[in-house]
Amino acid sequence: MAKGDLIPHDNHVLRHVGKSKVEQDGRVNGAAFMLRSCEEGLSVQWRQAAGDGSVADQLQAILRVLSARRKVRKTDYLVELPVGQTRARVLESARQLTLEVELRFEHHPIEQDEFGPEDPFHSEIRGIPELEEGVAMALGDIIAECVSSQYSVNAI
Amino acid sequence: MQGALALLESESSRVFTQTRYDEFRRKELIFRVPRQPEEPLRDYVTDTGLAEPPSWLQSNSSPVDEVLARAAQQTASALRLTKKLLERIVELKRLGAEEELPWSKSSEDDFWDFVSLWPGLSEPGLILLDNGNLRAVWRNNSGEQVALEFKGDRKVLYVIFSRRRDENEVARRVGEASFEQIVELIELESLGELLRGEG
Repeated sequence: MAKGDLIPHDNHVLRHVGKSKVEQDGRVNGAAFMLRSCEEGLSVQWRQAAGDGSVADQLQAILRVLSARRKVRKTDYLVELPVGQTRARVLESARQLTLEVELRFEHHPIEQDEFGPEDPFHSEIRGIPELEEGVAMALGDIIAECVSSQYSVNAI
Repeated sequence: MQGALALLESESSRVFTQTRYDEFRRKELIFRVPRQPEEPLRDYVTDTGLAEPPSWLQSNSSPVDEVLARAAQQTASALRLTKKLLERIVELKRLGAEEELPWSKSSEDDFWDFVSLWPGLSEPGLILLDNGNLRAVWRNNSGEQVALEFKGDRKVLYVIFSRRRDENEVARRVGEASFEQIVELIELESLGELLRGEG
């Protein structure tokens, strides 16, 4: 697939989340899905791009690449979003905030650079508009409601 | 009351009448404090001189007992919550240090002030934001939530999802408010029970 291609609806992406964004009962808070300034999209990893093996194999491959490029702590999580369901849910729920949010899950592999080796799984959730802090937080909460699985780095 | 009855029953008559009670009150009373548990009394007053004993005497506990018990229960539950939240704050400080995030003392102070505003508050989900502020979330199974970011200066950034009666859709509200305004809004949206873990 070429850079910027859309990820199929029945696939999944994983977001690397620090434990400070995970509530006491293990639920991921919407703050984990806030776009940082100067970010064009939410950085995620495309799970199915890591081969046709088991989920455990896919997770290990992704974690290996991720750890080579950034600091990953044992207490961190990889949080999974189903592409199609998240798009539909966010489109519907954001309308209640009088927002039209059409998320696009795009594949944006990274080539080897000064930060580390290539990352063929890297993708981005685009289509998040520039929003006031409160509205961005509400949108994060809506995305967080779509989390289908989460994996502790320690257990991968 | 039992002490007085015990003294009365040690008089020659076992009948407690108004006359005997007045006579008894005139005497100097000396209450003996037992050093060890005593045998239960075997003799009882059989006539109070009243047609029916007062209702509070019939119940196992008086209204005062009930109020005191409720107050003690609330205090114990507030202490339990404070302990849990303190542990969580300590954990978030440690995680924040590991993740190289700042820590806002004014946000923490506001969080504790807010907690003290709500008697019977349930434990919120509590996380640390990248800007060092605390964010607390109360949810229920109906998809409702009250999420508050404590920004310092007694201001919060709120994200409220509420479900009106007779409506299937969830209304979503976002904004910044003072403590007084957010308390009013929470009551207006009938979400006080959610914060107390009852909704």
